[in-house]
Amino acid sequence: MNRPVALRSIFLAFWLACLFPGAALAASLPTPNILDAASPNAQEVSKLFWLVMGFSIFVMAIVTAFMIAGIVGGIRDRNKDEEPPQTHGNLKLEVAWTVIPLIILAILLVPTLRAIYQLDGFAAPDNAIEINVVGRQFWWEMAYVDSGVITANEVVAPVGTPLKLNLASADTMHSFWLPQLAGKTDLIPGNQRTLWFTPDREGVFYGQCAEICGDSHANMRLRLVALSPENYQTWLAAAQKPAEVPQAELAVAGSQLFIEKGCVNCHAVQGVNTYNRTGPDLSHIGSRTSIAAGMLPNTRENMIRWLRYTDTVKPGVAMPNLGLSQEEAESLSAYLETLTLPGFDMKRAFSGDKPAAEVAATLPRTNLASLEDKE
Amino acid sequence: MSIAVGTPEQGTAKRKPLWLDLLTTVDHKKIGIMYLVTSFLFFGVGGVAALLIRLQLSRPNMSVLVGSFYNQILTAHGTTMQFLFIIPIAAGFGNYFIPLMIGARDMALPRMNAFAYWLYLCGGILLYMAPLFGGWAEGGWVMYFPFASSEYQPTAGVDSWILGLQLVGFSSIFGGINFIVTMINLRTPGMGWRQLPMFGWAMMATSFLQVLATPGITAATVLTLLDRTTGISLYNPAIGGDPVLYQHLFWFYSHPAVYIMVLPWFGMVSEMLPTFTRKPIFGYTALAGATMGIALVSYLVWAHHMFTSMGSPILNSVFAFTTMLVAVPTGVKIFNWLATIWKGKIVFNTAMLMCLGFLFLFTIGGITGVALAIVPFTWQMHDTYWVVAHFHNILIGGSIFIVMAGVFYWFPKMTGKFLDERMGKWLFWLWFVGFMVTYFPQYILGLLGMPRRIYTYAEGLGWEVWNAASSIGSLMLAFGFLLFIYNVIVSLRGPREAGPNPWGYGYSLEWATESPPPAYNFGVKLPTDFRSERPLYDWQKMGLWPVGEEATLRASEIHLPNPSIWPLVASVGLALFLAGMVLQGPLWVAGAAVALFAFIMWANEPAFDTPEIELEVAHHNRTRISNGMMSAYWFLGSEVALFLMIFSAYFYLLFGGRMAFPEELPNVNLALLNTLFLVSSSITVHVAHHDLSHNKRRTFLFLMAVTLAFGTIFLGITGFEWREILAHADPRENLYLSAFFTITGLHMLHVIAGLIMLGIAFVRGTRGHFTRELQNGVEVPVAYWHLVDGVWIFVLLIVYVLPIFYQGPETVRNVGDPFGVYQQNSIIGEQGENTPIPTLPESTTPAVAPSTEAAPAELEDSLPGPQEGDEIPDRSPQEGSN
Repeated sequence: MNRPVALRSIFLAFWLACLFPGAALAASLPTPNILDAASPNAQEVSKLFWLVMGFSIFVMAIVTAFMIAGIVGGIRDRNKDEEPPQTHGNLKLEVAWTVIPLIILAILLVPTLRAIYQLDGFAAPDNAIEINVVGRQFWWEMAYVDSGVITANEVVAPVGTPLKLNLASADTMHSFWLPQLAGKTDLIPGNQRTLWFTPDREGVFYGQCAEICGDSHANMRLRLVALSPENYQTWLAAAQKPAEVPQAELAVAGSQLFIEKGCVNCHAVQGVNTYNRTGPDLSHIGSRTSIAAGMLPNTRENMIRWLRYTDTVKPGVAMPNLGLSQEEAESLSAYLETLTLPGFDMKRAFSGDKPAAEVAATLPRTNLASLEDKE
Repeated sequence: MSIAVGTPEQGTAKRKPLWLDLLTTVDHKKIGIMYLVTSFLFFGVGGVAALLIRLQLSRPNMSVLVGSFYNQILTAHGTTMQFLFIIPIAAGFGNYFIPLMIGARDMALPRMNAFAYWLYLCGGILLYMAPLFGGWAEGGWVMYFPFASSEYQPTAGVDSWILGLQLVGFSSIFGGINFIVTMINLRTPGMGWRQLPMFGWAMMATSFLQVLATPGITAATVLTLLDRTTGISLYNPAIGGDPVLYQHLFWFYSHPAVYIMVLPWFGMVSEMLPTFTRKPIFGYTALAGATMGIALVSYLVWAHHMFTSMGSPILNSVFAFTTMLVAVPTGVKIFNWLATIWKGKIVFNTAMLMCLGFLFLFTIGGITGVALAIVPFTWQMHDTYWVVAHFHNILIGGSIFIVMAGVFYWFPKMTGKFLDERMGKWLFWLWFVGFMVTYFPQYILGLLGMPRRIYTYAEGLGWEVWNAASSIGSLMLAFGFLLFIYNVIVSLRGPREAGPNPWGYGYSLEWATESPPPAYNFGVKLPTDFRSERPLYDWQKMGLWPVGEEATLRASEIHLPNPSIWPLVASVGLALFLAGMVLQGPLWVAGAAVALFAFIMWANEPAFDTPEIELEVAHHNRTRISNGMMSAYWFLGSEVALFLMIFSAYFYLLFGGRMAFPEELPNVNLALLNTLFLVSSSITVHVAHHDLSHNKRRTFLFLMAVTLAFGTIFLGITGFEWREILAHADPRENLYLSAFFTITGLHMLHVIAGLIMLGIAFVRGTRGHFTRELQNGVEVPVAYWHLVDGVWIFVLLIVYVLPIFYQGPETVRNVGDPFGVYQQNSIIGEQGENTPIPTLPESTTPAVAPSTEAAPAELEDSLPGPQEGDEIPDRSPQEGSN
């Protein structure tokens, strides 16, 4: 086998090795992939990524070729007796491999600077919907500035309108990250940071806290629900009204428990109390896709488990374990289930080609069996 | 203890038991090996932590390490690998080989060298005592504020982490100073800077970084400690402090620290490639220049770790630019190494395979780092598995591959025995493949949105396969390491068969002596004709090597420093002192007493048998500055860096408009009086030193006493001033006062240290210890005292005088409550506490009314958050369900 053929096959192997992860990426399951952008902002970053990857593969190919050729030469000459040429350096070559990287970097710097100024929070368009986001151990509060709607862990937004998020922290540092929509921005006590992006397709997009913030940093998850503009308007109107008064016996009992057990001291429910924002606003908890800051799908079974084994489900959580009995937890859950958006069904809100069931399937599942072991 | 030459046996005639020998040794080779063994032990421990982490993450929803426990193991892993393994192990190789490579008998400051080692060991032990103090700190090795504050981590874990790190940090500073001074002063005659081996250049650059950057982490963590223990804080947002300041200080050290973790290995690659290709290193000057260039640029890139927290497009752009610059010298290095291989006669043994693996993997690590300079991409990838993969790519694929290569390369030199090559090749392939299996999936996980430092993840996010692969790879790495340990144990039992130059083509000076080298390193007088960085090659060509019989040294011509127990005792004392501070018990008094006693004994103990020998050894120095003084200057540089860091923090808060001044500023007149005393003491101590040099012992002692008195008066006045201020103000409530106590307190600590040093010099002076020629014991404290005084002038100007003229903006910006969230939190009492919730009376109205305290007016304008008084539609209780 002569050398060019050997080299060519090595190259081929190298290219395949580079392609494999890419192909696997493209074929993988629904996932918060930054390259599967759902906003022009994330799209911009994804373009930058491919640009820098292009140069990286180019440089890597040169280095690998240079190295393999050297090694092949070394293998060929290993039985020769004479001393190899004692080269101490070569000015022209050295200048070349100083200047060429400089040029490459200069090429990369221009789009980088442009993107910084385009994507930074201060560049948010004037027509943006402004939302104050407060990070807490271990959940998110979202307060819509203009409408006064307060929700938790799930941002609801219309497709095509920019969102401007004012980020602050109520305790330690957190970092707000929705990979498919925008880069992350830290929530720092004593500081306010801003983030903006424009969702450009409907769907539920996964994200989570990206700055270690305590025991349940891993469980501080969030979602963005992108709706069509019409659906968003309906949602916005519904979110400003209290849920309908519960009728079923079990739920009525739960509503009593909600007050007797002191839930009301931390959680606000429209129509019951307004100001307590130490815990997530529960006005329309029944319409959310998930509970416990995105840990569990919103089902009655999960809710009961969450109410009874709070600190096992979510270590370090601020919500105390109230020692509820199974019956109490059941009626509380029944009550919370009734707290839905009046006249708006979130699960039917997706008008696009992504049926609700499919969206629900993208919700991460937490292994409840492992929790049960601990009970 | 002068040692006879000729046969090594003669030198070890006064044989001590091994343990006693190791406790007291100042031999750079033994200390080097102790560093290597200790750091490999810590590597094993850190590796177990890593395996536990990989086990927990191998599948979704695992429950091996949950919540807080995971965070602790995470911190232990990061801290161990960085501060207890990869940084000190470079000091191990450096200790063993730098003196050999430059033809010296030992390090410039042998006892300080031992001290640095013992500090490192004690620091490591203190860190690992954390479970006794309530568990390891959480928060990862970066230990960001406010997560590190006592509010979120009330146990003493963070305290012990901080104090343990101080010991390791001091070890690093002293070690670094020692390398610099050794290379400046002890190069064998004829070896110029252009003939210094590349490993020497690498250690030089590393040491600069250690000496001048470590104060950053000292400042960052000590300010955290102050906040935790006293409540005096520059970070507390409630009084205008800024948690981002911690990040600035921390990364000002920790970015250069990244280069502390790679530069030594760059140097070692540059040693090994020529040996195994029989070629000189390609572009020596460019490589040395690139090493220094990387060290320099590394000071200018720290904020690229803060692209997501700074929130300033201008700073982001500037640091994107400087970060990209790092790629240029790094690229130069990679291409120079490739050119060294080019047309070489390559020996494919384990060490060389590791070097080739390094070249490939490190380049990938470097390129993925360039991607991280693209700020918007970092916004996505910051704190994700992409970053985890990137820095493991640098630290394993880069540094640790070369650690292994270095062990295989120099094992014959250190022991006279070869490591087993067959097992070595297994190690290489296990690691090369294992590395790729472990870390390449992590790049993909980063792109798929997996953040780092999470203890679990949900099913169905597409992360399962990649995490499983990564965990399998980590097993391969672990198995390779076990094989390596087995290899070392087996090979140590093997025959001693390595000659002076076991690889045949090693041309730096460590190959000019036996394997293992005798205590005195070289038994012959080395030629002084240096032409390149490969003296043995040139000398063989010129017929100067091997040297003739006439070059053999007589025993009386070789002098080695005396062993000493005091570095060990001093380190133990300091460790007890700090452990006492963690426990906040009386142990610290005992520790301080032990350390002080050890320092006094150390100062009293002569380094060599007689003053004449000491002078003779010093006579061979390459500069006219003594080793002691030169290291003092570097130490002063480090201290200046520390104060610069603290002053910068002060200016950051002041000019950032965060600092409100109290109604009554500290008394300037008192400070001026203090200045008078301190400046006078500087003059008296200067004259005292001058008198000693002119043999006027009596005035020397008198003026030293006066200096001590002035210093004490200064302390007294400052103490009085503190009491006055504390009587009517609380520094915990005011940022300026916090800064005032931090800065004057830090300065006061330096005054106390200076007084102790001067006191020891004074007592030794009364015993007639110093001579005109041998007076390091006075010179060093005097230089230190001048620094203390010089710093005071700046303290005076910045802390006392500046506030008279600059009061900052009218209103203080951003008092830490952007949307009024703190006030809401106070509804159920102390924030963060799990106070049981009182049951409500039968009423739908909340029992506790919301706080009506409004945020500052300015804030309300800029941030129209929903607060009481804002129109929130349809939220009145009347429409309730009841």
